[in-house]
Formats: sequence, C-alpha cells, structure tokens
Amino acid sequence: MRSTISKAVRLATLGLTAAGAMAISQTTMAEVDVSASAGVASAYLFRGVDLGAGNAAVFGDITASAGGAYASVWASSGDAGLGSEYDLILGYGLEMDDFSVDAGVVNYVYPSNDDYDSIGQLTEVYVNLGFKMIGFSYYNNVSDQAKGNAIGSEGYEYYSLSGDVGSFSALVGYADPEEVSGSKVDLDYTHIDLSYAYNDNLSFTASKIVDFDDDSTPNAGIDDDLLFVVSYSLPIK
Amino acid sequence: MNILTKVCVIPLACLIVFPTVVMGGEVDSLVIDANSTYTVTNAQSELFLKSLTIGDNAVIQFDPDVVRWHLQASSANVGKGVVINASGLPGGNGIVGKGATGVADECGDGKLGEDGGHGSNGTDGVAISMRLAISAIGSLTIKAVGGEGGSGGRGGAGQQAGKVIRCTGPDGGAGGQGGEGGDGGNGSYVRIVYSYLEGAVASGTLSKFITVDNTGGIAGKGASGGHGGGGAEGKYINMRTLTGSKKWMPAGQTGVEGRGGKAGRIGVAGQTLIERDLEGRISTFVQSQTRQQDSVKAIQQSMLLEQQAAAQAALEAAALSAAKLAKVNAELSLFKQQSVNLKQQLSEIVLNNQAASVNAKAKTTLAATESEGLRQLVGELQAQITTLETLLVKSDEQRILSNEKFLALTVSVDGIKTEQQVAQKERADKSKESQKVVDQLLRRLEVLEKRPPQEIIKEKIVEKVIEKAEMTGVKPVTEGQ
Repeated sequence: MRSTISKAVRLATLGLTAAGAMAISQTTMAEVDVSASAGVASAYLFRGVDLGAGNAAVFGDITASAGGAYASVWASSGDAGLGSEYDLILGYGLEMDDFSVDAGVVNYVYPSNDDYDSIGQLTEVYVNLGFKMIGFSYYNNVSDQAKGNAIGSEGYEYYSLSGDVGSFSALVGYADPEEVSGSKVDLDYTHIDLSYAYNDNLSFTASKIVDFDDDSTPNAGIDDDLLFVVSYSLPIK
Repeated sequence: MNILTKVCVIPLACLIVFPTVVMGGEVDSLVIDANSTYTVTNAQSELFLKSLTIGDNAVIQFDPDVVRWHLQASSANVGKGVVINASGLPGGNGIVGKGATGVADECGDGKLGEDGGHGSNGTDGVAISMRLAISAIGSLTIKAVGGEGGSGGRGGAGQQAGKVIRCTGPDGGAGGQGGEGGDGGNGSYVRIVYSYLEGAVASGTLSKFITVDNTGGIAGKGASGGHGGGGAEGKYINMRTLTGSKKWMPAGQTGVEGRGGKAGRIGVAGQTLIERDLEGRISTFVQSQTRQQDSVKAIQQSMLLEQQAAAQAALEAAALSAAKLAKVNAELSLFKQQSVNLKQQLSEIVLNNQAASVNAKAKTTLAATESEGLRQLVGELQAQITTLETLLVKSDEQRILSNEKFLALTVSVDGIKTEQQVAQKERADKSKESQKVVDQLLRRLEVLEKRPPQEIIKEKIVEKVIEKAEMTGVKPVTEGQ
C-alpha cells in the first residue's frame, strides 16, 4: 500500500518538476532574481540526525529564481561518512494567497564518495504544500543507485509537518527508509525540530528523535539524544 | 435697415450706451460707497481723477492681472477704515508625489515614490503710486504684502516590497523627495505724494492717517519626503540548510524616507515713500494767489461800481439841486422882474409924488384941515405897518429857513463835492464835470446870497404901501420923507 502511494507521489513530483522545468524555459525572458548566502553551524543536522558526528560545518548556497522556477546549488563541508557535499536543486513554486505549492528535484553529490559522486546517484523529488503557516513536505528517493546511505539501503521517503509563527518554527518529521525485504529491523523514526531565528543571521535549532526503536535497530547510527545547533547565516544580495 | 445702416448705427449705439467703456480709464470722478468693495481692473491701471471719494470701511482690491496702479486725484476725500488690498497672491502648493501603491512583485524591491512638486512662488504686491490733493482723510490701510510661497508637495510613499518566495527579503521602495517651498512674493513699492487742499479738514504728515504693510511674502514650506515602503518580512522557507529543511529568509529593509524639500525664500520687503507734493503746494499757492487776485479785482470792480453808482447818485442829486436851483432862480427871476416892475412903479410914483408935491404945497392948508383925518390914516397906516412888520418878521423867519435850506444845500453840496472828490480819484473826467456843475451852483448861490431877501421884502412892502396909497388916495411917504 505504502509502495503504491509512493509511486503515485513520485510520478506527481516528476510531473511537477517537469512543469517547473518548462516554466523555467518559458520565463527565461522574465527577471531573474539571484540570492546567495553563506553560513556556519555547530552541527550538520539532517532530518533529526547529526551527520557530522558533532563537528561543525560550513555551507553556502546560491539560488536563481524567475517566475516561480528556481535553481539552486547548496554546498557544505559534508558529513562524517560521505565527506563534502553539494546539492543541485531544481524546482518550481507557486503562491496563491494563503496557499503555496512547491515541487522539485534535488541531487545530492558527494565528490569524495564514488557511489554518490555523479548526478542521479542520490536523487530526491519533493513536494511542499502550504496553507498560511502550516506546511507539509514529502521527499522521496528516486535514484536507481540508492544504496548504502546513512538512512537506508533500499531507498526511503520522508514526511514532515511544520508550522511557523514569526521567527519560530516547529517541525515534525517522519523518516521511512525501506527496510531490506524480510528484515525485522525497523528504521523508521520521528523527530521534532524547534527553531528560532534570533535575527536575520543567527538561529537556533533543537532537535530530538522521539520515536525510534533503538532496541530493534542496534548500531543503526541514530542517536536520539537532544541536539542543539547554532547557525549563523549571512545572506548576500 | 440695410447693411450700411447697421454698420453705422451699432457702433454709435455702443458709444451711447457704454460711454465708460469707450472712455477707458479717464474718469472725472470716482465715488466708492462706504462698506463696499471696488475692484480695479487692468484697464484702470492709471486713473486720473478730478474727484475721488471713498466711503468709510470701503475696500479696494485688484484683478490678478494688475501689477501696478497709479492714482491721481485733484481732490481726494478718504473716509475712515479704508483698506487698499494690494497684496500679492499666494503661490500654489506643489503636487503631492504619487505614492507607489500596491506590493512589488515577489522577491522584488518596492518602487520609488514620486517626488513632490515644488510650490510656486507668491506674486509680488501691486505697486502703488498715488498723487493726492486731499480735502479730507480718515484712516487708510494699504496692504501690499508679497504673496506667500506655495508649500512643496509631499513626496510619494515608496512601494511595499514583494513577498519572499525563495530570496532574501526585498527592500521597500524609497519615498519620493519632498517638494521645495515656493519663494514669497516681494512686498510692493508704495509711493504717495500728497498735498492738502485749501480748507482741508486734515493736516500734518500723512503718515498719521496711513498704515502701509508691504513686507515680503512668507516663504513656502518645504514638504517632507515620502515614507519608504515596507520591506518584506522575513520568513521560513523550505530550503536546504545545515539545520534542517527550514531556512529563515531575512526581512527586507524599509525603504529610505524621501528627503525633505527646502523652504522657499522670504520675499523682499517693499519700499514706502510718503512725501509732500511741493509742486502741488506751489500750484495750490499760485491758484490761491490767483483766486485772491481775482477776488481783489472783483472787489475793485465792486468798488468801482459803487463809486460809479455814488457818482451817478451825486449827479442825480446835483441835477436835482440844479433843478431846485433853477426853480429858485426862476423864482428869483420872478422876484427880480417884480422888483424891476416895482422900481418902475416906484419911479413913476416918485415922479408922481414930485408932481404932486407942488400941488400938495398948495393944498397944505387944506390938508391941515384934513390932518386930523390924515392922522387917522396914519394911524391906520401904522397899523398896517405893524401888520407889515409882522409879515416882515415872518419873512425873516422864512429867510432864516431859507438860509438853513441854503446851508443844508451847502452841506449837501459839500458832501457831494466830497463824494465827487472821492469819485474823481477814479474817474477824473466825470468829477470835473460834476465839479463844474457844483461850481456853477455855488456861483449861483453866491449870486443869490448877494441879494438879501430883506431888500426884496422891503421893496414888496413899498409896493404894498404904494398900492394902499393909491387905493386910499393918500399920498405915500417917500424915502426922503
């Protein structure tokens, strides 16, 4: 059942991505807005998991958007397991009054890792839906060579429900890696992130995995201790 | 009515119906009623009046196209509380800059607000030049202040920044600059040359009666700049970060507020000159002297006429006196004739008496007898003489009266003579003739005076005695007897 839904979402995401690509081509004549930022964080927090093993990381991004379509490159000093990383993102977003829709594709590239050093080796499609301050996101690993990553070896999906109030944000995420067929190990988990933007540059995030069967998944590399991350971002216009 | 008639008649009708328009500014007199408002048009920029009367609390104002006004009045009567409002007009306010309304495109900065318009300059006051010959003045206020400069228009507000979609928060649009204030108009030039007419109610310096306010116009205020548009609010977006999938996108900056406009320049105060009209005073003095000379001439003419009338009256009186004298002369001539006749008769009587004396001697004896009768006759004669003496007394009285009349006539003649002498100063010829007449009259009077009336009366008495003697047959007593 879950697999059927996943396939439908994948198709929808791909359709939206294709539509976003078309929109980019149609809006080439439109004004292109470019923004960039760089920053540093005390940890590499990804979906409730500290990928940096307690090490700080730096990042930078640049995004070009036009008419709702956008393309972005996000780079980081990487995690402890795969090394440095850059992500290529292509998407399309729409906002109509209180509603928002955003869909796209993200490629995670780890140059220092042979398994994931090319585009398409670790790819996700995503859909973000929003209504006022509430948002729902869905990510799905659609790469053919999805294997051996930190989350799981058979692909995965990720769901999140978030709410924003001013400079506060709360998120509940649910990671659903595909377990190996016949395995009794349950890799699913739920985490909660609470973020506060002190100002335009400094923000704090507390994250905790709240639902993880640590007993059934020994040595899965997931720590459910509370994480607290400080990040400093410097937007560049 | 054919075309030619129409062409000729219509302008003629216009000339008849609208004489004021045809005459333009040339008006003999101007009367502005009390508490009324009189508007000076451009066609009346120069007014030359024989008479100007302005009632109490009247207001004189000007059409906007009038820049100067020259008023000249040979006789000005200005009431109390009169106001001449020659102030400049205020400048118009600058247009308010149009604000950039709405919200900018997503991720777009707000557009700039439009700059406010500059205020226009106030106009200068109407330059006033007056030359007045004042007969009366109450109080006059001349307001010739420059017009106030217009205020600058406020700058338009900047536009609200667009929403953050996947960008750093865009900034709000800057506000438009405030418009500069207009310059104040200059106070106008006011010059009054005045003089007081003879018999004017007011006197002294005219500044006591006139208040002039010709300060420069107030500078227009500069306007404030437009408010900057609001920047985009920061918000979380779904984006890759080191802290998860939520990235805080910073807010945009509020647009810069527009710069305020500068205030305008204050207008320059006008000059005021109030001075006595020396030329007019001299002219008035000359006119006064001329009038006095005319008055003297009139008095001289009047005196001359009076002298002529007096001379005429003297002539008439002299003529009347001459008539009376002629009458007296006639009476004297009659007396003279009568006296001549009496003399002749007396001579005859004397002759007759001489002839009769011879006979009388012969008849003396006879007469002695008749002496008694004669005595009686003498007595009677004596009675008659007494009567005659009474008459003589009356005649003396008449003579005295006549003398008094003569004296009165003499006095009258002397008066006439005096008057004639006065008249002779101006009219010597007529006086000479009058003097001649008077001299003639005097001579005649002297002739008459040389003939005393007693002699005439005596002659008359003699004549009466002789007549009685003839009637009674008694021989009259002669002068020798």
